[in-house]
Amino acid sequence: MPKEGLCESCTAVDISSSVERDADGYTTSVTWTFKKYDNINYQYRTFTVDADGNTEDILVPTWLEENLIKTATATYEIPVDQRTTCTHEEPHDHDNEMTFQAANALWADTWKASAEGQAFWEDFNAV
Amino acid sequence: MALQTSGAISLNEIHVEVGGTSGTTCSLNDSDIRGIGSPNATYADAQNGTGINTTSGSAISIYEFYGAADTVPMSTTNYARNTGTADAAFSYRSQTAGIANVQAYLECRLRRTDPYVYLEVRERSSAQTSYWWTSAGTQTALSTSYVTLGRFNLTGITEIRLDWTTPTSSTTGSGVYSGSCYIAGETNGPSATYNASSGSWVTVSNNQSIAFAFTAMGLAECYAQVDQECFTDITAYARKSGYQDTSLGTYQFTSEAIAISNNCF
Repeated sequence: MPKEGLCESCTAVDISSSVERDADGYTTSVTWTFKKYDNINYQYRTFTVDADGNTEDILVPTWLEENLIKTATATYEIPVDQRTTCTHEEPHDHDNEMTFQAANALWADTWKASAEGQAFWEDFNAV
Repeated sequence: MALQTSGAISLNEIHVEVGGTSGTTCSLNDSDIRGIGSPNATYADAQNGTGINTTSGSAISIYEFYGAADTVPMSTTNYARNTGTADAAFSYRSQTAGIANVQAYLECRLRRTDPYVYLEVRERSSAQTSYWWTSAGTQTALSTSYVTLGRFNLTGITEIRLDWTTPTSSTTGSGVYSGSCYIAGETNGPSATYNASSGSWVTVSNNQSIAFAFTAMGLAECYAQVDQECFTDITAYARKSGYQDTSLGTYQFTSEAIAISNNCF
């Protein structure tokens, strides 16, 4: 496991996303905002790990805004055959969530493999 | 024989030390003169650290030559791809669970066992899928046993150093997750004597070593997901009196962790 505490060499990327939908609720585009940080502080956080309420302490990366290295956004126009009406929202419906998750992974992978995605990461990492 | 450590030094004396003929034309911009070994660290500068700036025309002090000596590079043998632009080692791990918490560790060790110093890499867990690439570009499975990426062919090396670049990444995800690239000196996991610290020389005796751990970390909860890829370039150095500080070249390491949460508690 990582050591608890500050790791100056370590980095993390925080992603937020927004999904656009058409009038029928189908996803049409997704915009990701990427924020890269260094000086990551690994701290234990307690997670509920099963339906019985059992908990486990897990080391998670935390960061401060003063250690923000770079921010960038990217938009992926979702092809018709990759669109879905499924969502990621509460209350969570398993099938709905897993379908949305698979769709989101497909968008991300397709974009990452594209010339645009590769150019984005090359530029994002060129700090 | 090393140059004197005090008093006046003539350019001719420096020229002779690096193998030039006494009385022949030379200048402080000659590559062999600026490449002399073991320059005086007292005159380190911010741009170049402890060593003469080898760029012709850059600032230089005659006092940097105090104690300097003609040296030769160490002999090395490379076994792995060390272009710095394609992977020398790669590790991958994925997990699907309510709380998906996954790491894909590479452990890197620089070990002195006379008459060599070995640069080695392995995966931490057999649950990972890992590879390394030979110098010919052949992809080979990497296990929890160390493989040698390269070595210094010299007995009695006194100091070693492992440098790494701040990890870069490619991250995708959705929901409540975290992903990060972890790299730090470590002894317990990699079975090493000392922590490696990028940019720092470590004095070692025979059968001692330095090491670090490098991993992509992914953590997802409540139907979140994250695909965290991390990249770093590592360089191994060795030092011994009478020889130039020598590196094995640059090796690119990649680690990828995919965490998929399939529940929410």
